This record gives sequence, structure tokens and C-alpha cells, in this order.
Amino acid sequence: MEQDKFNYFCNCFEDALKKTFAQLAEVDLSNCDSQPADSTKKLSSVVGVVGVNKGRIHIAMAEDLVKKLYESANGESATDEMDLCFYLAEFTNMITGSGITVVNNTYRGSDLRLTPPAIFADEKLDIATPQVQSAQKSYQTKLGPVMIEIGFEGE
Amino acid sequence: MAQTCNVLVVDDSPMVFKAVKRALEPEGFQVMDQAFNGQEGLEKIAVLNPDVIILDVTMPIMDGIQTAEALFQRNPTAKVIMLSAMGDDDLTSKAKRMGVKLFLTKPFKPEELVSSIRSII
Repeated sequence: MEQDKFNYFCNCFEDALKKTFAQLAEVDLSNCDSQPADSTKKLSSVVGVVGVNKGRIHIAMAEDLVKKLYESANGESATDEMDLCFYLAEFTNMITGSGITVVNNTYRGSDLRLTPPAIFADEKLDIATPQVQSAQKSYQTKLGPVMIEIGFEGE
Repeated sequence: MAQTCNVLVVDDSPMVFKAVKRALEPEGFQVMDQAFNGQEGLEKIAVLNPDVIILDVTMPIMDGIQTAEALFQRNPTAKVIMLSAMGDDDLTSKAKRMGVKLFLTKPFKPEELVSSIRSII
């Protein structure tokens, strides 16, 4: 993928991340260099992108942040970890869906579609995929850090 | 009329089902059930005969577009509101050409969902 196009894709998903945080939890994201600390338990969600361009979006955040997002959206605490996983899955779906919408409206005919999210929980999670052009960005929120990694097929 | 309106949610997310119930039930709608993919949705529609179907796009096994296509072949007057995280122009046009009444994007506002359903029943 051409670098300009890849950069545009990244901007779309990063904007969608910020917009979704603001809409659902009234949380502003500020750039930071660090990822969520390795000692904290994290939840990660991976959504695939299929169509003219193939890729995946990986979003990770501290479990405590997901708990707070859940409470903000539902007005009650999550009953168990599965609730948090389901919530993060839908949260990620909304971020990637919002980003994909802008990309599809710009690159007409791309017909990019999402695959249902997969959720992982652990203290340290990395994704390494050969042949993928990727970019990663970390943000700080008042509720804890969040990381987004965007990868698309091609050099 | 709204008090007797039965709604089926076809969406793989339990969180969306919860949010739809929270938005609609205080307004007198009955949220009957959830189907987790399009295939299960078609089976439940045949049995439950809902007044309105809220249909997601991205789902395993059978997505929302395939589901709408199959549904409108069986019942061209079905009242379907698509509720998806994606909402690009091509997708929304395709859905509306197929017979989908309204296309809403997530995250949705409860009052927006209520007024959308009221506008089609």
C-alpha cells in the first residue's frame, strides 16, 4: 500500500478512536509514548478488515479502564470478565466501523468490511504478522492508557 | 400502537441487546429475543414474527446484508432497521435498495432508536 494511503487509513482509525471515547465515555485522549504498563492486566481486541485491502486493527487497554468504560456506558458494574470482553468487543467494533466508514467514503469501491472481533486477556500481548505494514500509537486517558495498532497487507 | 410493538434484535453482541432493551422497554416496546447471527435471525423471525427487526451488519455465519436479502425474498414488507458500526454510502444505499427502512450507526442514542421505530410502525 502507498505510504500516503496507509497514513490516511491510520488517521481515520485514530480519529475514530478519539471520537468513540469522547462520545461514549466523555474521555479525551492525549498522545503518549508508553504502552499500558506490562504489570497490569490488559484486554485486547482484534478486528479484521477484508475487501480490496486486507488488514487488522488491534486495540489494547488496561482492564481497569474497560471496567470504567463499561460502567460509564451501562450505569452499573460488570458482573464478570466476560461482560468486559463483550463490551470491549463492541467498543472496538464501533471504533473500527467508524474508521472504515470514512475510508470507504473516500476510496469508493474499496468495499472494506469488518470481521467479528476476537478478544484476548493477558498481562503482555504483542501481535507480529509478516508482510504487514503497521503503525502503533498510545494515548493516555484519565482512566488509564490505551494503545491502537493498525496493520495492512503489503510492504 | 408502540405498546404492542414486538422487536427482535439480530446482533452478535450481548451489549447491543442490553442497550436496545434499555432504550425501548421503558417506552413500551417489547424486545422479544436476540439472534446472534443472520441464520439464527431468519429462524427466529419465522417463529416469532416480530413487528420490527433490528439488524446488525457484521456478524458470523451470515452477515446482515445476506440476512436482509434472504428475508426480503420471503417477506418483502418486513420492517427492518439496520444498526451497524459501519455506515458508508455504498453500504447504506445497498441496504435501502434491498428494502431496509432505516440505517442507524452505532453508538446510537436511545431516543433516536425509539423515534426511528415509531416512524416505521
